[in-house]
Amino acid sequence: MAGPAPAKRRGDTVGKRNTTSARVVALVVDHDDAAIVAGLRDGERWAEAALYDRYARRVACVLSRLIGHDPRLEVEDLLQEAFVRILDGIDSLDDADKLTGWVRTIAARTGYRAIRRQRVRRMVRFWEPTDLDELGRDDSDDGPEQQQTYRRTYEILARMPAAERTVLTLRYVEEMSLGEVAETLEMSLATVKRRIRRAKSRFETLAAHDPVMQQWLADQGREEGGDG
Amino acid sequence: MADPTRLSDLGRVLREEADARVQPEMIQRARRDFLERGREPRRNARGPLLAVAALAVAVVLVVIAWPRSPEPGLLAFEVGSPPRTGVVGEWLAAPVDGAVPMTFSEGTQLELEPQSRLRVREVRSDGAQVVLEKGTLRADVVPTDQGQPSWLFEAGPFSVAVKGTSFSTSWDPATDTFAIAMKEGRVVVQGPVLETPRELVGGDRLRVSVADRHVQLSRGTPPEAEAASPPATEARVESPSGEDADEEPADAEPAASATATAKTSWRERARAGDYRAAMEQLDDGRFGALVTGSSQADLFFLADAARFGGRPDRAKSALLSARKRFGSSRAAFLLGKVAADQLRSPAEASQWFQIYVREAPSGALAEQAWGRLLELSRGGDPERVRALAQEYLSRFPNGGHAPLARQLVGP
Repeated sequence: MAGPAPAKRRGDTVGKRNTTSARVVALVVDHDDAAIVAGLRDGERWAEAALYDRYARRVACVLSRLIGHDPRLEVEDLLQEAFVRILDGIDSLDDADKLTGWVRTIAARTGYRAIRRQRVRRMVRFWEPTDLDELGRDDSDDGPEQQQTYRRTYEILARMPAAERTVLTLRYVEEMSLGEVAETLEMSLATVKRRIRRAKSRFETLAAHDPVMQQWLADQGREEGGDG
Repeated sequence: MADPTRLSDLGRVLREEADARVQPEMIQRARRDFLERGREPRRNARGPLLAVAALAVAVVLVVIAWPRSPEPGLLAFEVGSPPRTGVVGEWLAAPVDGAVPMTFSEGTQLELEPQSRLRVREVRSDGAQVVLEKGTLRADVVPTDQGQPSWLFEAGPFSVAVKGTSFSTSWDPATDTFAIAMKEGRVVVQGPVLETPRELVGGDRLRVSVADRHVQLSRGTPPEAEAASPPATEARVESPSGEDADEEPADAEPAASATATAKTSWRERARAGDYRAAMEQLDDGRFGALVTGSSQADLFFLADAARFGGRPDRAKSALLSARKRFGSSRAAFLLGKVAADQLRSPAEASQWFQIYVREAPSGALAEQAWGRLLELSRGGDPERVRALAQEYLSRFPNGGHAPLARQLVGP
């Protein structure tokens, strides 16, 4: 490259300093979870970017599956909250090979906390702009059948206690094992099993009164050849 | 009891729909917010990484920008002495015993101080975006004819937008401290602790400690000392309650003397700390035009001047405009403050703080907003107050309002 043309230089304002040849560090290519974890512990910004780029979609999907169709919760906000929690807790990760599972756990806990906060907000009667209140919309707005099922299910889930809603979602939507659910929510296995039983019962009761869910359940029964 | 097979099938449906709602654009927006967020100091931070270690293994993936050469029409730059061609995206680290000069094709000169590290993230035809990862950078930016700043410097979570100026800036990730010393020209600085973007001119020095939520601002003759050092005029800005670390300029000078020329603008009066005079100067009818036509940064500046100048009605107008035109959540927070502190309207204040925590649950002002809500709730329904206090403690167990929250939760 030809030398730059200093057409508008305003004097040697940076001063005449002794300079030496630059030692240029070009950081390229590969990384692994261990390197990312080490970088995060050292406060390296590249590691934060690498962590985000590797796990953002996974974390967003966990959050989306947990909070579903709730106009009062935004995956985008929770995404940042989850990654901040990951950074804050990185020193507690004792094995870098477990980073993937640990990130998933933090994501789920972030979603659970958000659901619990929503319950508190309803209790304290926060003012909510009416343009965000999509609950109880006209059926004709629901769209294709699968989307209807999605919306109705999360509307039902939103009426359940936060813990029951979350164990049910982690078990059947996120497809966690009972042990993983227990670890994520920091409950005993017995507690998880008990909560899932109650959650299923409550969900069934609520779904029985929803025409869309009744139809879905009936269709499922016919497909299985059973009587529902 | 609900059939687990059906629940699994239902789970599959929900999973598909939920995943389909995760859009790439949203992930990119959140990425920017995450990487540019105000950073709280990590308890077990191990300190700054040594610059330029001769590592045998390259372990970093830079996804933001692979090293690439500038396209035709874009600025080119050279690095070091003797100079070599600079590459966009490439990390540059200055050794322990020397600085690294950089020269851009339009004449802008940078100098990376010893043990500092930066990269040029992006170049344009009239400017560039530079990320100062650690240390100190001196800059002599060639002015442009464009209305908007053409250069952007990022130092940690802070950004410095530049049109043409000479300054030095530094960022210390170990202490989360940002500093900038202006020689001449004009820049706009944004970042954590600073409630509103700060415009600085020649002679100004700004130092922000994110960890301490502490801002030092001094205005004076062009500095000679290092930007990272404490400025010669130690002007502390602290709020005892921990709110608004940037509540008032530290160097608020006495009211303009009677000999001040009549041509002194309202903006200059506000900069000098004479907010009342600045507001009086706008009694000629210009205030309305400023509210409808100013940029977001100027609206915040106008709102601050009005707040400090005893004109909460005008502050509210400016902030409502920022809200309406730019969707600013920060404006919602400030509207809450105006309502609570100056308009004595707790119900309105509570609504604005609620809006803020809903829109920006992880925002830089979230702890303050929740704390203000707690204060405003006192004397109300005990169940509500207790729930609020518990919510505050779950989010901010060590926050400034934690003692109050524990008191309200009770035994």
